Amino acid sequence: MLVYPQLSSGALAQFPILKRRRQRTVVNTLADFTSIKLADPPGEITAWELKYVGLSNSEALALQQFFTATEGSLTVFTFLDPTANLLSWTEQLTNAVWALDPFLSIVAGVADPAGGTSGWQISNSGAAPQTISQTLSAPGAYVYCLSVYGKSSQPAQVTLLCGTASVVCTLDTSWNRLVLTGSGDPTAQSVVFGIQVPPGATVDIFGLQVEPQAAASVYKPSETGGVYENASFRDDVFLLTSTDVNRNSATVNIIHANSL
Amino acid sequence: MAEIEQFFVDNQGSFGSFAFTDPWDGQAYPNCSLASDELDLTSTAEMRGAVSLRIVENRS
Repeated sequence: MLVYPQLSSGALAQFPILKRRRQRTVVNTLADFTSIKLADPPGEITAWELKYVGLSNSEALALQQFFTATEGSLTVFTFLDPTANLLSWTEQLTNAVWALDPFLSIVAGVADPAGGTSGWQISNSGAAPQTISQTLSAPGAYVYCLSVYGKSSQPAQVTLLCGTASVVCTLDTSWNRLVLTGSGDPTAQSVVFGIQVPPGATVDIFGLQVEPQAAASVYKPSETGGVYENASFRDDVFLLTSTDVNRNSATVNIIHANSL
Repeated sequence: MAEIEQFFVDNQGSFGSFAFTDPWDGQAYPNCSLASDELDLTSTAEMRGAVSLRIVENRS
């Protein structure tokens, strides 16, 4: 699959980033001036304007080659929203998008570090490590950052899983943010992200987040995730400006339509 | 920003309706909608962004 390239830093975009959400509502205005509205979900469009400055020649070349590979706006590709949490339903770990091993039990409503009650308590009653995970249809070769807040009333460790990378983290009695940066199998078209809980352990977690970059940003609750398959360039023109030696700038417009 | 974006998506743009309390005078309006099917979100830096919404009261 074609995948929009990351920069050499692992970032996918530079600030400022403009994201445009467009819905379509069909309105029928009647003779008495009352109206009937109907939502039209296939008409939903999401668009991004990414402005790059100071790109190295190799980064600019990668963008240019990618634009050539897609033949401008003709061919669709997978785009990971740089402003979004790639995971979906991060506040509902009982949703079907989450895969829970059989001996894991989860309880909602735990006080979270943001002052709410969106935390979850996870208990492993089995004799082997158990995992809660979500699989994203995202490129394995990307750099990802998995982050989650965790704590435990008893000494406990959890293992963060981010593609082929993993790290064991010790939990404290207070909330701490655990972070793991890694990639998946470079040839794979999906990546698994999750948390492995050791036998007999009970831990509290909050704010699961995956981003297509090397470090974690502030937690963003997510329902729909940030993986956009079938995105495309909006334009058939790619304008690249050389501003200095090994310095280039470009503006890229990407669009995703539900109807495609 | 993420919550406003999710609110916009949940309302399907101008289709959905919701209750809104006017921040100027505290008056509650039980039936309102977003005025536009379009939402622009500008991220200017980490934890910095700008977004604008227009809310209209539905009267039938």
